[in-house]
Amino acid sequence: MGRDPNQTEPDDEPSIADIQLERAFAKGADDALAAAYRRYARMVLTFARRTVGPEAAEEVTQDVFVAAWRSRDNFDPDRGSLGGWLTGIARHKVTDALRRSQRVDARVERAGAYADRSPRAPEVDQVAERLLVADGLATLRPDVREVVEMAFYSDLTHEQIAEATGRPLGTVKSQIRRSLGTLRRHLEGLDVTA
Amino acid sequence: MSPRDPDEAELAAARTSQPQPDDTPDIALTRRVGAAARALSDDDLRLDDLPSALWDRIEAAAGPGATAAPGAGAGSMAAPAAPSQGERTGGHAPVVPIGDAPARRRPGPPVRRRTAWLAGAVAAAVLVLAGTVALVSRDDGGTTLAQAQLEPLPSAVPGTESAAATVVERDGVRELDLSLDVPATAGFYEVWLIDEDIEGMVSLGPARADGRYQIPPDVDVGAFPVVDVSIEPPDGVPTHSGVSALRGTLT
Repeated sequence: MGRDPNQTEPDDEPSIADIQLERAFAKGADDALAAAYRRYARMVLTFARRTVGPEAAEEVTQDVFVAAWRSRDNFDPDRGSLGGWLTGIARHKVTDALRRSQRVDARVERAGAYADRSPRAPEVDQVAERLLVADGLATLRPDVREVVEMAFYSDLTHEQIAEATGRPLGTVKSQIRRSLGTLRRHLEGLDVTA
Repeated sequence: MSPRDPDEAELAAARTSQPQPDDTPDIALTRRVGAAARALSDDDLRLDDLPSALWDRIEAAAGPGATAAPGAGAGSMAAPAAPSQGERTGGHAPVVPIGDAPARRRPGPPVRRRTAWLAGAVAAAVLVLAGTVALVSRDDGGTTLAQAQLEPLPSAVPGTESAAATVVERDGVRELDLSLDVPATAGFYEVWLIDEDIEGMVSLGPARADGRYQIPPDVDVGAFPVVDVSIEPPDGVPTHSGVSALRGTLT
């Protein structure tokens, strides 16, 4: 894990690219839907597959991106990330699909067959939030991510993290602060559509 | 820590999901972020691949303005692609949340202990195995039987350095030679040999200054080829804590 404690690169490079994408999407720029798809479709598809199952997942994903593009005027980067917003739309589609399948399940159950187990709403929320946090963590530079993981998974203080990583205290504090901000923005985007 | 320091308050919130009456909206969100981060599993790090026809259907349904296939070359908007598996894991094994370690069990059989939960972590560690070298040489009056390159895992204390492990036979006694360069931790480091199925493991004991760990005579190193260095809390529980600092496979 080679790292240079004196490196001074900005620690938010990936999120700059994400912010550019968000602006382009909100404006309805050419290619912005394709770019959003490239950036977030795997997460949306995974979320759909894990909540409604593999058969309905592709259709949900398709609905999410089509609906998102049609309502792109409603997307406001100041209120949360595009990834969160898309996941929020996906949550709506998933909830609708689960309601439909539960109605079907009820009929199947009356017919004597077994009812498929559908995830309940809290599980849907948890999967959404975990996938968003995983995505946000994955966009961090590895050395920043290392510090942020210590914020989550250890009980070290800022000073101890600085000591353990050999980085200045101010760097550690700002990396944690900015990264948590990036991750919060993902959940804010999710909440906008709640 | 002073609760008035906003950075400290934020860090505390990232680690405690229990809401407090005076939580600001940001602090409440930070609690959710931390809770999600601590609940992450390997499943959350593995994203499905996109079926190739899916974009075509979306483009057709979304209509004008949605042109240009994803992945189109020059001229298309330079959007960041979703982080790939490698980037996603930062080149390391997926996160093994420290707070998520299963309950530590009571002492089991003295040598073999079963830990199914480690399977994912160790399977993932295959990703980080550095090139290993198989050679037989004379060293220090002994014969080198196997070697492994151990690489730090995400749960390692930062500053943990890669290490080389060597199984050496001296006068009919096999030892694992492993010189560790690891930062101090709240507990202690312990050295393990683990089988490939991650069914069983053998403790070679706490880290030693001389870097020499005797391998019990009946233990077949070929059956326990994964060398693992764990971080153990000083709680007297003899099983693997689930938090590993370094790992590699003997060849």
